[in-house]
Amino acid sequence: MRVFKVLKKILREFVSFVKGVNQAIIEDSVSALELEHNELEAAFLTMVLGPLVGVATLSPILSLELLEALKNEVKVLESRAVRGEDVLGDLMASLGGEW
Amino acid sequence: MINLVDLLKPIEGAPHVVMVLGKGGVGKTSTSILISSELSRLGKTLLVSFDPAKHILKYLSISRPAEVIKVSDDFFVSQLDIEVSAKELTSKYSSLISDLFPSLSVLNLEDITKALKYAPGVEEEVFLNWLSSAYENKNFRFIVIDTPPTGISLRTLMLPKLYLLWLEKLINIRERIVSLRYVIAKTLGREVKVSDPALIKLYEMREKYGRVKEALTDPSRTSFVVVTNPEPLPMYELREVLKFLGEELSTSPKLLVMNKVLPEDIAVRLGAHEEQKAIIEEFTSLPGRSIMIPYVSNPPSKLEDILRLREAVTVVKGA
Repeated sequence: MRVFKVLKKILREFVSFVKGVNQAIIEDSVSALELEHNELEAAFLTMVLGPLVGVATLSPILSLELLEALKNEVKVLESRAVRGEDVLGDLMASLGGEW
Repeated sequence: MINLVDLLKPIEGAPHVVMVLGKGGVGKTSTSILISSELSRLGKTLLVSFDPAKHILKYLSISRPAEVIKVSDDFFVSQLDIEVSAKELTSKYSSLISDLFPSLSVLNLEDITKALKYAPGVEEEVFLNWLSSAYENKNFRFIVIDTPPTGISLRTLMLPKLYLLWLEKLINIRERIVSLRYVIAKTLGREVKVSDPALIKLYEMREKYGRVKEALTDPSRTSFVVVTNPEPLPMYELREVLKFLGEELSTSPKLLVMNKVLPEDIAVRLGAHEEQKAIIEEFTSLPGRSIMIPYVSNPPSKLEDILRLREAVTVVKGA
């Protein structure tokens, strides 16, 4: 009976361990995906907004045509820019780990 | 008398767009009026002039640019001012910019939209924008365009191809962004919003410019007419236009027009006979249909003068 209890405890701990590892893998993957997503979003907005600030990435009229559909993202970008004083800190945070 | 319509066939597309190209001063406006008047016998025809010199206003005694004016039963005309249209187009977006970038109001937003009007490529954008709506215009059977200077026209004709290239890249990035959003939301068990307004807009734009590109290269929807004079520079420009149409749009003009051909005795007296002869020889050797219009001592100043030119037109190479 005691042996059974010990085994059950070990098994539960093992399951918790596997679940933890799984969660860690998921979180790691999600943060990697989020990083790629944010980078792509920034690249996309730079390409679209470039012509309006003097960077000739594409035609200004194409940018203006797209602007309406990107209203919310532009607002997010602007708020990010306001918070963007600690650029180095942001970069280190996005890379993860201890710095 | 020749039948100009036969020389432009096939003209099935509705509307069928005729673009009259050539160096400034060669007689694009007169040729456009001649062609429009002929086409208007077959159906409702709109002649639109992008000519910065606005000659059409004088020829047709029109005082108001930009409006569509009825010349005769099925012949309508409109003079567009690229600069005014560019201003209209860019000011349309000024409120959106002020909403998105309120901080710019401190820097005087007016200046930004004003500057946008002079941004490189805006004139071409205006022309392309107009062209893409012309292909959708169901009010007219034919639309004849007296084009702006050759540089602007050729760059405009190149734009749909370039835009599609840009849009394809943007769509690739956007699709990746949307799929990443989906995967992240699904993984974290959040609510997933599949539709993306920017991606939808990009697809719409790809379709719009794809349609223009297709129409430009379809001879039943678009006819190119190139006008020249028996002089070296207009001929040089004709060769450039032919090269561009062949290489970039894989098409060729339906009709070549040699305008202002001097009568032989006058050409001899002016010492231009040899040069004119050599240029006309080269012109007649070019492939495709072509016509010649003689020089008239009194330059046409009204519609009747231009329509009278039709009687003097000779066919070099017919259908």
